[in-house]
Amino acid sequence: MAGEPDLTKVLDSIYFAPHGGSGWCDCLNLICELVRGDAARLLRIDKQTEQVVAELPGQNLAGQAGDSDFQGANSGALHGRFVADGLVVELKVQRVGEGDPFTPRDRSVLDELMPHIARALRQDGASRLLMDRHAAVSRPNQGALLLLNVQQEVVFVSTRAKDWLSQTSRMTLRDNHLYLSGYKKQTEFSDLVRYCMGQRGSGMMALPEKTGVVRLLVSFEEAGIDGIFESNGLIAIFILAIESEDIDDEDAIARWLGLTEQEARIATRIAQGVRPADIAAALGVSLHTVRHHLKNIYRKTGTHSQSQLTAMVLNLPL
Amino acid sequence: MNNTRGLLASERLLDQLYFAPYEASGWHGFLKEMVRQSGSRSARLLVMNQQADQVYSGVQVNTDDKAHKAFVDHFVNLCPWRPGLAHLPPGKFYSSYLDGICDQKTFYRSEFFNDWAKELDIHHGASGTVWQFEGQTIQMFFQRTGGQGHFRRYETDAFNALAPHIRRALRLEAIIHQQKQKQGYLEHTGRFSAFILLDANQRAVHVSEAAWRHIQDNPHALRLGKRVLLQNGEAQQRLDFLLKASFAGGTAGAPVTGGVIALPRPERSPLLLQVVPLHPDADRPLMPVPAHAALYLVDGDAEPEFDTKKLANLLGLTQAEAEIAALVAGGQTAAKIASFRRVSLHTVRSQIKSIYFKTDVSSQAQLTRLVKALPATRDRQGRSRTPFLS
Repeated sequence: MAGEPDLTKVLDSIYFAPHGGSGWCDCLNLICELVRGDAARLLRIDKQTEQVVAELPGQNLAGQAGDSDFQGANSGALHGRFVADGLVVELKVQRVGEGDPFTPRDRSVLDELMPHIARALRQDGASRLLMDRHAAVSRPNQGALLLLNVQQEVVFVSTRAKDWLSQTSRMTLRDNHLYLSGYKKQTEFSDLVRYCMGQRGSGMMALPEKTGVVRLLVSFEEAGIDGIFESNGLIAIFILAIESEDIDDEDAIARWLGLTEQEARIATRIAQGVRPADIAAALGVSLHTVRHHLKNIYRKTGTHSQSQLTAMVLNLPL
Repeated sequence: MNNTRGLLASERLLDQLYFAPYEASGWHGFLKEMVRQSGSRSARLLVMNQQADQVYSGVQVNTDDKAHKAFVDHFVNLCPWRPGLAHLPPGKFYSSYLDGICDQKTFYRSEFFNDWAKELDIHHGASGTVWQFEGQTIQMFFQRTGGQGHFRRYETDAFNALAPHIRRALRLEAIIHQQKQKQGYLEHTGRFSAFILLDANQRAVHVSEAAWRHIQDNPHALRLGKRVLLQNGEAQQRLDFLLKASFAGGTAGAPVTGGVIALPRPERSPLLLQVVPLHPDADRPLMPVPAHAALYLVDGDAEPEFDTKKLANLLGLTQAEAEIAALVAGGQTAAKIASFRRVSLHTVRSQIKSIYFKTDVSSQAQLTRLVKALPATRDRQGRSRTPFLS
């Protein structure tokens, strides 16, 4: 029986499947190895019609359509079934050609695994809430932010930070670690991070870029959450570019605030700090027209001043 | 895997264990079930330092808080069972009575028993180092009264059969802990911190702290029952429509068209609500995925207030300079700042020049951007808050 994965490894793969990218596929492959099958998959079956509604294919099965059996599989498939929340789920393992039929031992191994698979699939749902909470805060306009854990592994990269990393040659993200080009800068950065962790404080360093100076603001952040483990805190790295791009998604602003195209254009410029007279000149209309639009914008958004409007536009999750 | 039958082998116990990392008081629930099924008096799970002589945190059942605190602060290292535990291989549970950890006579003579355990009627124990990771040692303790008797061999065997599952659940806890820590930070900061997650039945399944504050601040406009309730009937209709549209499908992450609801507030600009569907299409197709919609609350009036002390620290400015930088970022002109601070315009101008020099900027607009991008603002509740770059 050499080469068989042990049950601990298989159970690990089952319970960690909800947390890995190709988790379930890897897990099915291991189950396959365990009972020396050639193909494994999980099927969700309609209670009444016994039709396959959905499936998760393991190895050798990617790309195969619907509930068609694995090509060349012999008739002796291993089945395991459970009912979870009124849904019937089946694990099906098959062998190719005239291979040995599955033994009672294979069958009992599969039976033992089924409750664990059922439990892990229910956990999928539970971890979904956390994933969606994460989706809710990971919006493009979140600013350029990186989060590191106390082991200095990068655990979060905002969309803007990703953009910046793809453009700059000053900083690289490799194997979950940040690297700065140049020995001196790298040392300065490491020292700064260490200092911030030690002092539970913050500090800045500058990176000269073609477009101007980019500042890295490093700040230690306490993260008090409930749980049995200690919260070690996080290191937040803000990438502050003086010439940062302005808020300019006029379409989204129009959609959010229910404005016309021209109104959105004006609201955007007000939020950028442009004076109405300059807006008029830029758009080639009279100051009177701009003021008229502005009045309509105030009415539609319920705001009463340029500063209120600015705050509202800047707060939109664009 | 051999304990599918018998002691500590119920599916219910495994359910409790594996869901502990996902639920608010999940570990407490697991220990309670363990106490019931193992016939113990009490139980505790402690997260300790590497040497296991200092307790970081823990969960316990059936010991009153005062006694537990006394244990954690003082008696944990006096417990005569523990030196024995330190010398036995980790990963297994040991009976205090059977495994030569400490003979019963010595135990009854100990300060630990006489000053702590006796009053609680603790006479026997089973304990083990279940997991060690990143400099932390996790130990579990089960206690029995004199009447319950000591832990027998078949009972420690049952604990040991469960140990790999406990270890696995702790590893899940560590993964989820990391995610929650990151999530907690992102929900405290940034401009998308005020949101409510709703499920397909429009029930609120998650309310961020900032969203709670809005709900408490605007009790007349917005309430949270089983569903989000808006005072204004028209607004409520609009919300119901948008949520329905959100769950009906469409593109994940894109706002529902026309999806803004303005809730009027007395003497303030309205609170804006926006519905954003999160994932109508599932990436893992086997089980039907619970759909969620995010309801963002946007407050146009939330003018950030600068923490000038932090600002001075970050930019290397004097306190006076930091205050002026904050005023500049707030859109004040030099003349206004001068009259506000009762100093001459000349003084303010020279201070601004000094700020420019120190921060390497050359205009008020640049300075404003820099200051606004720094995590040095407080919202009205006084909690330090990070405004993100725009």
